Amino acid sequence: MSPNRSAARREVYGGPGVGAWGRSHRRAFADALARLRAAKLATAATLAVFALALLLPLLLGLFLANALRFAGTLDAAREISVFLEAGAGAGDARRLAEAWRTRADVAAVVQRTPDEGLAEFKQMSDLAGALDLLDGNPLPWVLVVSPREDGVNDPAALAAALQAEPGVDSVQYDAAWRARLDAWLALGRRAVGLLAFLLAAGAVLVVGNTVRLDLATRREEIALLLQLGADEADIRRPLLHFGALLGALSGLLALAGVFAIGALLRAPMAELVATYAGGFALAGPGAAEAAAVLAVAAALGWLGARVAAGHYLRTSPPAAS
Amino acid sequence: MPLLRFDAVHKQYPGGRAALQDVSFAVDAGEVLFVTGHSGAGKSTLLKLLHLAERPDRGAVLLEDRNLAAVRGRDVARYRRRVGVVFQDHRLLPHWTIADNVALPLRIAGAPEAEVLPRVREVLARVGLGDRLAALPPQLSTGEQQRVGIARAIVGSPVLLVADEPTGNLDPQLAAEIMGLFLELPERGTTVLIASHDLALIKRTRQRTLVLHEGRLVDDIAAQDLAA
Repeated sequence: MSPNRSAARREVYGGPGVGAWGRSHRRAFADALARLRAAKLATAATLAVFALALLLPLLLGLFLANALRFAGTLDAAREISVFLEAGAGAGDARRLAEAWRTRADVAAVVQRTPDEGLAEFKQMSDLAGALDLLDGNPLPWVLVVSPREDGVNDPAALAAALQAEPGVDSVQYDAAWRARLDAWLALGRRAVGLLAFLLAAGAVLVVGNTVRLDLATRREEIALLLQLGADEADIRRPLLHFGALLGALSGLLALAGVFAIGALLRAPMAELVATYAGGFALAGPGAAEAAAVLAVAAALGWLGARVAAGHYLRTSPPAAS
Repeated sequence: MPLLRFDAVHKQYPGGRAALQDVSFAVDAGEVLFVTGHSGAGKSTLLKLLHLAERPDRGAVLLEDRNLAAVRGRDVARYRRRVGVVFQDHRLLPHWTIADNVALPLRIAGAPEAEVLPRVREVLARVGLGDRLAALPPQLSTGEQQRVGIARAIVGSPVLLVADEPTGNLDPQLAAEIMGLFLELPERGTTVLIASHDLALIKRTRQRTLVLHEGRLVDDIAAQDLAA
C-alpha cells in the first residue's frame, strides 16, 4: 500500500478527533431536522402533546408567582387599625401613639387624621359626591399599629390588648385571612411542583414513544449502520438531537401559549386586582425564565430520546450480521 | 507476514452441528481469494467471523496479527470500518440517493464533508455509475445496485473486503463485470475474500480458492491449479 493511501486510511479510520466529533454532531442535527420534516403529522402530534404538558405547569406556576406578588402587596393586612372614639382629638391620638410605641410587641404606630381618612375614602369609593354633602367629617382618628414580627409576639393578643385601652372604639385586624392565603399559596406551590413533575415525566414518555416508533421503523437501517461500523453512540446521537429539538420546539410553543393567554387575561385581571390593591400588574415569564423553559424542555426531550434509544439498543438490538 | 490468518478455528451454533471445524489458512495482503462449498459448508459463518457478527468457540482469527477475540466494545465498530462488506442482497437504503448510500461509511467514520463527495464521485466512476449520484436504488437495475454495494464497501479503502455471493443474482456477463471490479482492488491495497458457490465463475476468474465441506477446509487450490 502506498504511503498516501495509508495516510488517507488513517484519516478516515483514525481515532475520534474533535473535528470528527463536531462533524458527527452537525450530521446528527441535520438528520434530526430531516426526521422532523419526514414525519410531519407524528411530529405535530408529539409537539402538541409535549407543549400542553409544558403549558399547564407553566401557567399554574405563573399564576402562583403572580399570586405571591399580589400577596406581597397586601402587607397592610398584617397591620392593626385602631379606631378611636368619636370625641378623641389629636392630643389623645398622639398620647396613645407614644404610649404604644414603647410596647415590646409594637414595631411602629402611624397616626391617620380624620381628614386623611375621608380623602382616602373618597378616592376608593364612588361616594365622593355624597360625602361632600356632609356638614362635617364623621370619621375618627385612626392609629395604624404594625406588630413586631419576631415569631414570639402574637398579633392577635396585641389587637385584643389595644381594644381594651381607654379611648379606643374598635380594632380591625385581618390576619386570619392572610394566614389562610399564605397556607393556600404554600399548598399551591407544592401542587404545582408535583404537577410539573408528573407532566415532565409524561413529556419524557411522549418523546420516548415517538423515538421508539422511529427506531422500530428503521430497524434494517440501524442494522446496516452497525454493519458498516457505526457504534451505539452513532445510532443514539441523531435521536438525542431529535428529542432535544422536539423539546425545544415544544417549549417555544408552550411559551407562545403562555404569552397569548397572558395577553387575553391581562385586562380582566387588572380590573380584578384593582379592587384589592393598586400598582399590581400581571407579569409573564422574563427572558431568563423563557430561556430556562426552553433549556428544560430540550433536556426533557433529550432524556426521553436517551431512555428510549438506550432501552431499544439493550433489549432489541438489530442484528449486525 | 500474512494479512489474515485462521488458526484451528472451530464454531458450533447452539443445538446444531459444527459450522466450522479446525479451519486453518492464511491470506497475504493483496490476494483475491474465493471460498466455495455447498450450502451449509460454512462459507457464511467464515465471513461472519471476519465481520465479528460471530465469534469462534476455539482457535483464533487474526487480522494484521491482531487476534479478533480481543476486539470488544467500541473497538468492534472501529474494526468494522476497516473491513468492507458486499452483501448478496445489496442492502441499500431505498430512500437515500446513491451518493448518500455510498457515503455512509465515510460519514460514520467522521470524514470531513468536503472530502466525502469527491471520494464518492471517484468510487462511483470506478464502478461505472459516475452519472447516477442522485438516483435512488429502486431506479437502478440489479447489477447497478450490486455495483453501488461494492462502491460503498470500498469507499473507505478497507484493508479487507468480504463479499457474500456477490454475483448470486446476476447473469454471467454482469457477474464477470463485478468480478472485474474485485480483481482491481488489490492494486489499491485491499485484500478480497469472496464466498461463492458458482464454480464456473471461480474457474473463469482463476484465483486461489478454499473449498469447505461440512465445516472442514478440504482443499486449498492455487490459482495456477484451477483449470481454465
